[in-house]
Amino acid sequence: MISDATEVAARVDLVQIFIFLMMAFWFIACNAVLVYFMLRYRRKGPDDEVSDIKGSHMLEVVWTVIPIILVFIIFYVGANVWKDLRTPPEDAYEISVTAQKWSWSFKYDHGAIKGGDLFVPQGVPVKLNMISNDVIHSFFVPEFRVKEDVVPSMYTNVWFQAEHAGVYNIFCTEYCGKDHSHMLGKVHVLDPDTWEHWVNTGLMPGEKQLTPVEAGEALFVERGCKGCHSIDGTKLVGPSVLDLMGREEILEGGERVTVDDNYIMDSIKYPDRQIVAGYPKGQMPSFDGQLTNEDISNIITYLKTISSE
Amino acid sequence: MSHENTEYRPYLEPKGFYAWFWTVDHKRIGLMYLYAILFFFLLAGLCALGVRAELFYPKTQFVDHHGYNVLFTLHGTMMVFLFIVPGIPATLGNFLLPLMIGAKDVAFPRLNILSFWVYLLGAAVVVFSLIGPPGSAWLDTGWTFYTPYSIDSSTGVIPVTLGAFILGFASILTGMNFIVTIHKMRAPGMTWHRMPLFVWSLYSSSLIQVLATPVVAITLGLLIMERMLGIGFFDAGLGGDPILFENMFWFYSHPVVYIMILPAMGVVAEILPVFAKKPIFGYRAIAYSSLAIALVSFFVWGHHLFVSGMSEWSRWIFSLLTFAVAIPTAIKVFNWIGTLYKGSVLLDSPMLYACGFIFLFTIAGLTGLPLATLATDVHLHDTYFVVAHFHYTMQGGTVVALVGGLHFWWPKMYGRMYNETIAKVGFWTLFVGFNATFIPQFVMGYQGMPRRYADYLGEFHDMHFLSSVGSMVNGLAYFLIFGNLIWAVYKGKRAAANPYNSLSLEWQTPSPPPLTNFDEVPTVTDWTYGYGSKQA
Ligand code: HEC
Ligand SMILES: [Cu+2]
Ligand SMILES: [Cu+2]
Repeated sequence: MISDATEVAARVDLVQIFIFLMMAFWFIACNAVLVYFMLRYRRKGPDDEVSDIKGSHMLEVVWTVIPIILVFIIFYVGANVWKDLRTPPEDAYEISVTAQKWSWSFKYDHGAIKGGDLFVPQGVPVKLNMISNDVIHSFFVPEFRVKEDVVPSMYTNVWFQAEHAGVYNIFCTEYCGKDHSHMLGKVHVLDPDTWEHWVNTGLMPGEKQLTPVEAGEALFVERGCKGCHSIDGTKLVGPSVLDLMGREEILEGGERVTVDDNYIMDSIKYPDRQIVAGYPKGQMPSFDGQLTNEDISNIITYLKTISSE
Repeated sequence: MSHENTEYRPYLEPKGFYAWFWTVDHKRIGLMYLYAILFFFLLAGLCALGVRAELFYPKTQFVDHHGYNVLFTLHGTMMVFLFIVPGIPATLGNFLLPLMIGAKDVAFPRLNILSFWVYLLGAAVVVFSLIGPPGSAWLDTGWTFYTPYSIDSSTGVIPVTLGAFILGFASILTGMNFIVTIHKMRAPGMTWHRMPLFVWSLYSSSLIQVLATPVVAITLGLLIMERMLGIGFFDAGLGGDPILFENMFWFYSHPVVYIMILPAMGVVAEILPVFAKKPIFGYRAIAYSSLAIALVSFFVWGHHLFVSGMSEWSRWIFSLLTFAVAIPTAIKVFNWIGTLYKGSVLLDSPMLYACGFIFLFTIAGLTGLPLATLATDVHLHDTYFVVAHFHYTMQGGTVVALVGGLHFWWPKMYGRMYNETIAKVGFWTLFVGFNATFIPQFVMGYQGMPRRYADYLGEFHDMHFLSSVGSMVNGLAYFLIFGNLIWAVYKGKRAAANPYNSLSLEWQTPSPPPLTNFDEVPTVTDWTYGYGSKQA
């Protein structure tokens, strides 16, 4: 039960085991005595001999002082390991993280912006600088024992140094609305060669370059568009994208527009500029700066293929 | 109704809507509160079963994601604000406090009925704002109403906060009333250190009620100013700080946790000595630890914000302060157990509940340790581990004590006995169902399963399934338990004035008590727990 994903996680687990043992001891001690008394002194009749003990100063002192000492010890070991859990090394590799309903996006040093999954090098301390575009989210990787809320008003951070190549879950752990439970992702820890390859090509070894339509479709899922926009005509949080291209849209205020490439780009980057009548303003988060122009054009290409004919 | 003794008229008469709704009698008010909160307990409990039903399997079964979020919001909001906060003080507290200290009523009987009306108004406001105007989406913010989500989402956080604020007044009225009653209305000879421990616990929780509730009002004020005048307090878009809301919310809601649990501890301290025929062990330690808990409860709210982006130093200090709550709590547990030592223990249903409470509460308290510890809480925060932990305190603690207390005092309240065998079966069903529901939640929480998830990864399926099965048993138990109690009201055997040979004052008057409680003002010459002294 000791996680070997990061060195700090292993130490967090040691603290946890220490506390679990402490809990087990007190749980058994208290309840064994309780059950023993319940059975040993079970009423036999109305004339049972009963003691009239009202308490014991000695015992009160003992069972006040011992717990005080124990909780101090727990506090101390916990705070100690926590300091390391929270203090990133100076030379950490930094990645910018943006959270919004209901997807994660990660921006790397070399300019790549990726949604959904996070790619990190093995054996290198990684620091995530996180901010939210809308409500509060929380970044959680159970295996690394790290978690921190991602809030709209300030940057927060987590750090970890993954020891082994592998894939780990990312959860959003602060309730953020309808698809909170689908605000998931994976951390891909890559060994040095794979990392090189990924940084240079944006692809995992053996992965093929996607066609624009495939890339657009992948983005549509990864970035959480699908949680709000159905492709089969059902109305979710936002309008369905079935037969979107060329459709005549009535905007709030009565204006009519015909959907074209620019309208879609605008909708993705600045959703609050034009609101489709009958839908709430402020629900669709802006993807400005989180999708490259290429990404957007891929999405548009993909959206064109979603038609009922 | 004809009684041989024309002098004696139980408080339950006369019947009729007006006679009850306009009453100022603390016993009737206690019962009306009981019916009201149990009604919301039923609704909120059904929502919980809905949540668990959806989680039997991953993906969507009965409700879509929004529907699921609405269910857990309804469950949490109604359970907390409409059921468990008024909980024991408004029901058993109202009924018993004057009886226990030998008074005719509380200090301000009219404020007491006003409190009940205000509660009904607040409950109506909360329920209607959860549902919203026709056609709008039901509230789905969770019972914590975190900004900015709560402000963005289509239904308003303001009316719900208003509801919480109105309910807060009901609670302040009860709290003030209890404090003054305990100070001023004790019968001759009923000194502070002769008072039953239930009274001490009501005193402590009333202090919290009076001091913490105004913070909700301030929060509401700030929210309204923000919405109406555009001043940025919580909204990042206006330059505000959403974490401020979390701070204010928990500054109120953490102490409230102790409003819920302290009276429960008081109930247990009443049941144990009677059924062990022994003086309570460490009377003063238990009494003062209630006050200590009330005091410390105001300084630990930050443990809800360990991963919220709060400054690292605040996290450190709040962790240390949180551990301080463990000490008075541990002291209480040890003293309760000590009470059984060399006693004559009768394991009837109220005693089963009291001992069950101790068992479940040790789990609740001990699982709080890794949550108070910084290194481990980072991992456990907002997972099912936390959900299980606080259900052990709220259901395993408060609800078990409430139900145990109802069994204990039912003969006093209605003058009737329930069926003891069914009561025992009910207890064990509850005990098994409850543990089966929440032990799997500890496990999956530790494995990283986040809370408030409408859907989950396949690897968590086993634990979710077990938990859902348990919850159905847990739910069933309440139908057995309350079915038995309700049956007793109509068909139960007549109860004697003092069926357990208790020394406490409420038992020294007929069951059910007359409207004025005692024929003549009792004079107290000894403390409440003088059991066993004759044999030595
Ligand atoms: C949180 C829910 C949500 C997410 C996530 C979301 N949208 Fe939207 N979207 C909306 C809503 C609501 C509207 C309608 C109101 C408006 O026009 O802003 C909308 C409008 C649109 C429109 C205009 C549709 C029309 O019928 O005119 C387009 C195009 C669009 N979104 C594309 C996207 C893309 C692409 C993504 C993913 C990168 C995305 N949306 C993610 C909620 C969302
Ligand atoms: Cu979320
Ligand atoms: Cu708390």
